[in-house]
Amino acid sequence: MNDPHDDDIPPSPASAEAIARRHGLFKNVPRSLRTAVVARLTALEGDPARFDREALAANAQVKRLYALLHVRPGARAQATLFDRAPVGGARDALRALSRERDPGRAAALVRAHQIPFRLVAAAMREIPAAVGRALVEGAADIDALLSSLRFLARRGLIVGEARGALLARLAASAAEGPPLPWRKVEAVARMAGLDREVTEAIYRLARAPKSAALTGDTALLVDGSVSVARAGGCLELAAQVGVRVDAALPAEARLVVLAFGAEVVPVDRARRADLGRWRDVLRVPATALGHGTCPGGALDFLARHEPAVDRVVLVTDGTENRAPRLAGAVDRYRASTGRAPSLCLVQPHDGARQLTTDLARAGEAHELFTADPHLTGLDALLPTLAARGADDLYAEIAAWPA
Amino acid sequence: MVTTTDPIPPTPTDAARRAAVQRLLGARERDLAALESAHRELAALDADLHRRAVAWFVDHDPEGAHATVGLALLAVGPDPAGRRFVQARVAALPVGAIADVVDYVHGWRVDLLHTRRERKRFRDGMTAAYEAGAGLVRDSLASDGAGATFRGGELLVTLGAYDKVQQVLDYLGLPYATMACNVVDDAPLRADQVLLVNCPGEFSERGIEAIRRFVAAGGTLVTTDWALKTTVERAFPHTIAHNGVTTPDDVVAVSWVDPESEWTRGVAVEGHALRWWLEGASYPIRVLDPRVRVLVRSDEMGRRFKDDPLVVAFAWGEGMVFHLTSHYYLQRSCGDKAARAQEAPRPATQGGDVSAHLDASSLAAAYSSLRLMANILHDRRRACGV
Repeated sequence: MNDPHDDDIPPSPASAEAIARRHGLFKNVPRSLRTAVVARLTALEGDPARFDREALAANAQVKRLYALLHVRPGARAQATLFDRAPVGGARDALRALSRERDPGRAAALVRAHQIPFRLVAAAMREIPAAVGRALVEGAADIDALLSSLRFLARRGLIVGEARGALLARLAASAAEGPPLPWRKVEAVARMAGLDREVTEAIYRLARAPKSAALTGDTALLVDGSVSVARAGGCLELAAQVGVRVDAALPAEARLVVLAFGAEVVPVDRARRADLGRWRDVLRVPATALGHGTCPGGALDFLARHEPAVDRVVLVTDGTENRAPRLAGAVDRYRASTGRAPSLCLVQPHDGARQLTTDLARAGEAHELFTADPHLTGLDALLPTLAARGADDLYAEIAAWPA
Repeated sequence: MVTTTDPIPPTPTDAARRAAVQRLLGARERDLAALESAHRELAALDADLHRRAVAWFVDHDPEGAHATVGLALLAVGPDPAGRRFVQARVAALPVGAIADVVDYVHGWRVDLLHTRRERKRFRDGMTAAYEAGAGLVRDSLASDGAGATFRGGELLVTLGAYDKVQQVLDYLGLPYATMACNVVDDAPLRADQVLLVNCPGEFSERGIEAIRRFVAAGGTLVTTDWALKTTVERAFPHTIAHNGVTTPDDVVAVSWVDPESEWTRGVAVEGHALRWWLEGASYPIRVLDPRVRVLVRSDEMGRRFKDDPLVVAFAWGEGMVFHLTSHYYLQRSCGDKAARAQEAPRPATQGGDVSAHLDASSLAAAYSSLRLMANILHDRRRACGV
């Protein structure tokens, strides 16, 4: 093969230009804020163990606060942040961890000082199973554990004893701790990609979704293109969504179901059909829908052929590759029907971000509901649909205690 | 002192409040200027509602940009209630979040930092040919009405040691983004993008899976040479494969160009024998599936290296894969492929002036290579719609 090109040679410093954008208010910190920060730092110094953890996890930020605000640190804080860390402290333990070869001793260091995953991964090239278990058991709180779960799973550490410890910790938190926001729990369950039992345990951390009845006419648009996975030939996620939405809607409300690829095909089925019937009607051959994915075309079809609806539920893998595009179609729907339906994208766990990104860029309000790989969290879909989107959120914010 | 001549400040309507909250919620975290503007707008409209909104952001995502900017504005604002609000919240915020607020007040929120390397395009015997050829290609596309619009973000290029499709795209005037192969593992690929893989194309299993799903969803993959083995065989088994033979640094005659394909339009120049330049150790293509479409063939390639396809294309799911033997950017070698390609009449083109000092065979090779690439990219762009 020929030699690499010349521009594979790293350029000299003179030929490189660093580009940075700074944002902010470009003001001095007001006395009131400085006073509050100093009080916070003083309180933190009063709890050495907690100070060590914060200094370990956010070392640069803590140092910046002291330095930028000209706050004189206490003796221990001075040593921890700016001089040699005290022996036996968390920073000292992190240094020892990077040199430790015995998994048991390494696990003990992690557990004793609650060293977060991010720092353990930086200190140790390979994380042994014992340390993985220590990371699960020793996480400072459930938030820290959930934040690192995806990375632990990716490294294959949620197995054996670590998995057992995780289940125990999740169960304890669900029983004793305050319920967590649904969005946070859903994101963790989706991205961690763990087995069904662990996924269900994660979902139990969330506020139990209130049973919701839906009102208003609804359109269910189902992406049946070639790229969408079919379990046993059936669009399983769409069937699960359809049977739930159908059951939650009152009898007098309309439910329009359209399958689309590059073409749009109305799907006939009786109301209150069971899951088996939904699976049957959603065995739509991809070839019947043309080559391509065009949710915008489906929405335009809906506007042309059906009376206006209050809600559009789009079951999709998150992509589109044909005009007309969805963002523009939403705007056209509002203009042609005079109605502004709520829009909810329902995607599998491995769906793309293309549609939601384009809608956000176009300023189109919408919900994104992502199902976990085992479809165990779909009970939260109906409350998501029942919320009136922007109106509900505004009301929530307007009533939030300040 | 308020007097009877002072105007009564208008009370903001509920619709105005809702719109302001909506704008704040819809402001993207990466667009800090718009986010700050949305905060200021809501604060000016209704200070109490703004404080409630900031409290909501702090309780839901204390380390997010919405909370950071909101707290910073309240901390430096004229409203004493706002400053007291920030003091109360600082007591419970994570230390990292407090540092972010202080940084934002100071103006030390660094949003974007990268090093822009001075672009050094080496010049060799093909540079003039590519420059001239690119002009001819652009003129051709314009006169055929075959050009599409590229706004940026449509073309992705993975870096490779042995090829530089970036140079070809630069000549064609098309915007692109480059990335290392390992970035593909987690990249948010879109179904309306084209991914060009520079030889050799070294991807992990996750990267191969990401490429497979990208093409299945409608994306377009363009590969050359060794990426046949490293990428195409792994991601799309039983379609095409390396036949086990490697070529020397050489030139073969093209015996057939698909006359009906939109991707080969204008590639063969009338009255001119098209020659295909091979790099040393290029991989001939063996077609394994009858649905694979051969776009360019060489009988000489078949005689000497067992299989005659030079350019192939196949559909996978909703997307397309294109593979070319040899490289995007044709290099001259010590053996001087242009000499072996022999002098040939200059390509008859629609307009454009061929510089007299150009080697005709180099120009022809560059033109054909550029035209093929331009056809593929513009066609795929049009197919996705805009």
